[in-house]
Amino acid sequence: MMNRKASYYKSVVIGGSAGSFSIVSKILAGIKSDFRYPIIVCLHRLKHIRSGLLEGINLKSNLPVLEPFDKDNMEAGKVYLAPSNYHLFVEFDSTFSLSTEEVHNHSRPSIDYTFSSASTSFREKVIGIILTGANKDGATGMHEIHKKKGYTIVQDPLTCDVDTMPKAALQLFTPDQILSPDGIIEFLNNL
Amino acid sequence: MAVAPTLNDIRVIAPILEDKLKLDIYNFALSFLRRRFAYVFKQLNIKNVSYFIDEIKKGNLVSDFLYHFNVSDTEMFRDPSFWRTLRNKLLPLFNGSNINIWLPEVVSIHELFSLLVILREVDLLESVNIYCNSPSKNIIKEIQDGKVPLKTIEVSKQNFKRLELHSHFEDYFLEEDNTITINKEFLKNVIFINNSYFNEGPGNEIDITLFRNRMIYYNSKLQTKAENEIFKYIKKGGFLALGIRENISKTNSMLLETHDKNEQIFKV
Repeated sequence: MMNRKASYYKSVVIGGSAGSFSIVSKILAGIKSDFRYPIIVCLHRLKHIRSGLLEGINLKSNLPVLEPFDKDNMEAGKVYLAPSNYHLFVEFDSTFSLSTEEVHNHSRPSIDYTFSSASTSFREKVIGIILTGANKDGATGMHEIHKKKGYTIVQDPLTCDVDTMPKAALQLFTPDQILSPDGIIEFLNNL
Repeated sequence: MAVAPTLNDIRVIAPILEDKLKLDIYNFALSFLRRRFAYVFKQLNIKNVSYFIDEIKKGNLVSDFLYHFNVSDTEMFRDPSFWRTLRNKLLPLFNGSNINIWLPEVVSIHELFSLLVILREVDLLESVNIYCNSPSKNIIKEIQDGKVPLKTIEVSKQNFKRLELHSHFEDYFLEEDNTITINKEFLKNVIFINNSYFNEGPGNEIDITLFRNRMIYYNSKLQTKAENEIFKYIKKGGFLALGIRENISKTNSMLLETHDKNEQIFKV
């Protein structure tokens, strides 16, 4: 476990694809309601369906979940879900920016883009978590967080519906921890 | 291999581009500038920053830069519910009178052709003037050629189905020799302005402005400046459509009322 002072981190970023909806729901249902960091969630999702995912995640979450508008400020204790058909970026001033640039790894939103921008803006003060998923998007972004000394957690491939995404990350670097969904919840609640 | 300029490089490049293009580069969002310059340098195979600066100063790379810098749309009828709202709710408010429509920053065929199809659907194609600004001659030429990029066809067709029209995609777009084109007659009432909207407006009062997903690449300062420029031309009672995850800046939010929250359509 880390030995960091209180409020060291600026955000937690979570990425996932196939099978990750239930894991994210479980994490947000298990997290304490006084969690003090913003959580940014980037999931691969159907581009033409605007609603449903947000409402579904919000149902069980202990923290309010919202889809940010461009230039919205990030606030502690809130969960920000990347909107469908936009890439989501983190700026230096803790605001969000959106983009309709080309899909990356067949995805918009792209997990790589969100993770990389968070690591550029917050450097070592980011916790990156990659979950179950069916393509390699997110692996490069996690590697960026790792290279900038952020804290990295990969979901244990044995607990994944589809382990392509975590395994792609594990091929690039050795994360700080490999955890089950319950382990991720425990880790976050002990921050 | 092309280089990716650093933020320090961009700080050097920005005033030169501003001087040459009258484009407020430095007030684009920082993360956007980093990745967009990397993209432009890759497209132009720029191997060092000094070479790029020299060529811009000589005027050699200006049109290429303008072509690649602005983010292109990647599909027609993006957010089909917006186009349904335009067709079913917004256009009928004009009750058949002539309508001036403005696209302050047209970046590809997609947004304009989507608009033309909707106007044709409601039989208003002959009753509109459509003003389109682009500083890039190449983009205007591409639009006038009427060709739809093949890689965007499938998603555009899927979006078209969600418009819930009685017509078919093929009614509007001709597929021939592996190329898809729009009927060029549709462009008859489109007026192209080969300049940034910051430097030259439509020269007429505007009823509907489509400016979707363009200000997401600006910082707050440039967004406010852009809004002020656009507001100069929108008629009292006219409409402004932004992208569905965009808002009017806090500075200007009192100047407009929200007409449709889901589609981010505002009324002056």
